[in-house]
Amino acid sequence: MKLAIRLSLLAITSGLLVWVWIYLHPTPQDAVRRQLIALAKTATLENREGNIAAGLRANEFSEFFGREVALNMEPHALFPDSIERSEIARVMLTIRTTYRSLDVKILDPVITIGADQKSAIVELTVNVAGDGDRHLLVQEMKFTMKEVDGKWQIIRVETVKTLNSAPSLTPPETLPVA
Amino acid sequence: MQNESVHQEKHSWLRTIAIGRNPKVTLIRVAVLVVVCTILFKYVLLPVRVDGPSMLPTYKDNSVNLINRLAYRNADPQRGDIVAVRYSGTSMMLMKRVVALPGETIEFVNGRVLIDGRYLEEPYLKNPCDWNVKPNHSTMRADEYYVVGDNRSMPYQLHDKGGAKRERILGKVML
Repeated sequence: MKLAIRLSLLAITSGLLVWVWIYLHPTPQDAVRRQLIALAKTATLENREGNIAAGLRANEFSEFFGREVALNMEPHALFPDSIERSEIARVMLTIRTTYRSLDVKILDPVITIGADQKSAIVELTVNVAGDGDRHLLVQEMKFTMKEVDGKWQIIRVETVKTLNSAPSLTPPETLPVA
Repeated sequence: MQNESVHQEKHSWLRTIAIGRNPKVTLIRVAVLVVVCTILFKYVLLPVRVDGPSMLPTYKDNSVNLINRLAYRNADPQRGDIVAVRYSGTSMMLMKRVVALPGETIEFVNGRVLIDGRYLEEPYLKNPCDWNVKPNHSTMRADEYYVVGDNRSMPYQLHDKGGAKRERILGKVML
């Protein structure tokens, strides 16, 4: 009996040590996943904030991105080819002061780590609920991330078409009514 | 003494209900059930909750359904099938009806679907539709199926529709 208790304790201790080791030394995949969870948490707005809090949070959000982020977003007419970190903070500040609440969720991230272990491509679905709308935005996206000084940063953002349809800014051809 | 016996009988009855006559067998049964349910509801029949009005009146908002993930293992989606189209995973999906198959050209005239210039009979449509549109991407590629909801009384621009790649179609809606 004593042996069984000792063996159980040993197994539990070993398990805990392995868990702590994994927590402190995450694989690139885990590090990217954690970064995405933190990104969604930072973007989430539970209650309307004051200007200073919103500014700080927007700044914190921009830290998830590289100094300059390449964009390939649809509709192309609305988005530039690249955006600087300071602009991201500004856009985020506008969003945070416009909406009363935002619940940002990053769903089903598919993470592919590059051969150099310092870059990653992540395909994911963003679901933003806000101001009573459960699906204010549902968009499949592709992030290119790079590890800079031990921190994974987003350096490229692309929208992914779930359904191949016309971009919303391009009016579809209207047929004559018969 | 009699009270104690009644109490013990009640206790044993409750115990039998909770963990069965043989706890070991019950444990094995529970484990088997968990494994079977996990496999069944993750890889075979995916439970989903309908969210939104785009499939009205066929499927109401908040109704529950199952996606048969094996439906298209050895067969291709057919016109009229209601399918689940995945985003990057299975946490969120689009539930739509297949109306055009690979290689076909689609347009909407007076609210009716035209496939390669011929009207498509759609008895499941109940709501009025006034779409007169030839989509910008109207001819399906070799691996594409045009999917659209049944509620076409919604404005054209607000309705999610378009060509879904075959690999994105997860399965067929069961109920």
